[in-house]
Amino acid sequence: MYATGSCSSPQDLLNSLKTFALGAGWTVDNAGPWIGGDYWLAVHKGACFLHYYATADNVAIQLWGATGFNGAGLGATGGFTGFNNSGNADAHLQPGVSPGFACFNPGVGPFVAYHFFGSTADTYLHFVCEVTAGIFGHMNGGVLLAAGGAAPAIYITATHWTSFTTPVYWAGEPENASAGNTMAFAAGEYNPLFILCNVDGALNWFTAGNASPTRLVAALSAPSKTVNTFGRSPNTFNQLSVLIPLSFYLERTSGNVFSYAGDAIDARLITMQNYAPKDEIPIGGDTWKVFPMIAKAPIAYATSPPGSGNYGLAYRKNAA
Amino acid sequence: MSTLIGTASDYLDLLRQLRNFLTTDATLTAAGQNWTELATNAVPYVYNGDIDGNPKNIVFETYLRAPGLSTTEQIYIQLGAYYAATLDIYNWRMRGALGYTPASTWFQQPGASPDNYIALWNQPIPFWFIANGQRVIVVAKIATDYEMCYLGKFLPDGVPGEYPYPLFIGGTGGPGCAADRYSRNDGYHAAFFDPNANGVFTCDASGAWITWNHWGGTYYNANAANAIWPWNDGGTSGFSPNQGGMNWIVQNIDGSYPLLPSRLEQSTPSINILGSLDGVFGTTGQGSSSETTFAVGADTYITFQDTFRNARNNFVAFKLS
Repeated sequence: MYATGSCSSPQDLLNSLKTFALGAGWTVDNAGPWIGGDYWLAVHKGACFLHYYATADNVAIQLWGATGFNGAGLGATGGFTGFNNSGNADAHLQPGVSPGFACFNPGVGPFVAYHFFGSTADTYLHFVCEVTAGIFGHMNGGVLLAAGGAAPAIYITATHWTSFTTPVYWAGEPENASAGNTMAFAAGEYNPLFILCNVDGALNWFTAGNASPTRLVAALSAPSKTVNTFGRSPNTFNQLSVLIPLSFYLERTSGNVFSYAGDAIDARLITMQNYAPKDEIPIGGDTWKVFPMIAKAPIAYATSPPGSGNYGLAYRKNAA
Repeated sequence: MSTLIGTASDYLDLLRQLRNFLTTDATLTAAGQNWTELATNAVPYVYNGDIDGNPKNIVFETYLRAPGLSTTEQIYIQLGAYYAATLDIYNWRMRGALGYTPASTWFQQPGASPDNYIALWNQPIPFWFIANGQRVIVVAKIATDYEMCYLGKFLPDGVPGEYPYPLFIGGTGGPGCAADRYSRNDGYHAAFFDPNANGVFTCDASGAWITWNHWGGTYYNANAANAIWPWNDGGTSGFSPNQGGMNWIVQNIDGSYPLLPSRLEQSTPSINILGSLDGVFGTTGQGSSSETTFAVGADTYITFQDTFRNARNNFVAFKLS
């Protein structure tokens, strides 16, 4: 499933996402204004609970993962009826909630467009927001195509950039983010990726920045099993970019050894070298739509606008 | 795809049984994927042109043509058996080629690759043959070593019009290893999936032969080498800044074994992700050993170690029929 449109603000973006999620088989647990003009969208599908929270100042959208929804404090029509946490929302107090949130900080809007990707058959909500012309952010949550008994394998991830507009910020490489800039599905300073999994009898949220033994190896992080893969595409023999699976590995209790936990569904790492943002790639009966991690622009210090070189993500547009 | 497991009396009998399997196996034949033996040469001759300078007694050569999965392709493989008794060497040498001409010798076939080798011996050899119309995998157990080769096409990341002849020729030793015995235990003796120095070959889109290397570490920098994922990228001491490698991968969370595709990641002379070896997967040796089989869905896989190496990062899984 795919939908696109324009949006005036983070809250407007989430309101459109709510409608899309319903069509993709998600249940909306809450969607409404929260304290001080904040906005909380809570959805779930099966055991995967996602809590999107747009702050009133429109600085950021937070995505929290959880194993449930606690509606205590909500009024009959939804929305805030009781405040209990020093200005913070209850999204972070939900059952099994992630210890941190994936953060997408596009600013107040309006934005050029949103692009939503989902599936009635699988459990994920992926969205890309074109913040200003040519500058994008990603926010993704769902359940991995699990391998070898990984469960519940819920993930949350997002693009976090120090600024989507100020022309001084960069990321030298996605696997080693600096200056507060981290790409979706990578690991870095702001831990932009969390995965919930039961490993060796303990349910934990894994992230790259955790202490052993609850670390993860992301598709774009150091170490990663695909860091060098990315640099070997596009193919010289046909000038096409290979769609690289976004695979994840979780640490075992014994420490320093990892198990393959699975891949993100209908999302791939791709080099943008021969593609423009929003290009579509047909492969057999599938159509993949490609976006830069933030902007297809040279990665450079200080004088450049936000740039992520040729790092990009491809999303399958025609998932049922 | 078909599999034959058995025991050969020696390196020559192993070649005889392989030829028979590829050309007459009932499953391959029923699928139209049986191979054709174009010619043989059973006239012994001495060859001393290898860079090691040791003369080899070439005792048998065969020229095979595989029909591909489509049954209409022409994939050319050369296999030869030789010995050097004073060195206690009883090996095969192997080549890929772009064609076959009856009047030409082993060395003169059109577009032939350099020689590649698999170290065997003149004693009984338990073996595993795994073949389809486009490639064969041979595993031979020599004492406690597992020698192996992959001969034929891989699965390219491109259509035939872009990459018409994606051939992979790999054993356990590349150029310079003709005089290697199976007991060699250094970096120049390694299985095709994590090969020795320039130890295996692929045929590129122009018909030129590209060489492939080990993972990083002492010998090569994986960032600049043609190497095979997931064994590439070095990593020598558990989880560390060393990128990738199989040394920190263990069993899946439920105790099953991972199956990671074997991806050909080329850096020189140009960058390419060429494709994947057909039926070859990275797995872990943690809690496992060679010859272990396991099922995933309706498919069965068998694991082997890389020649003499048996650390957890030295294992491969082959899909059986």
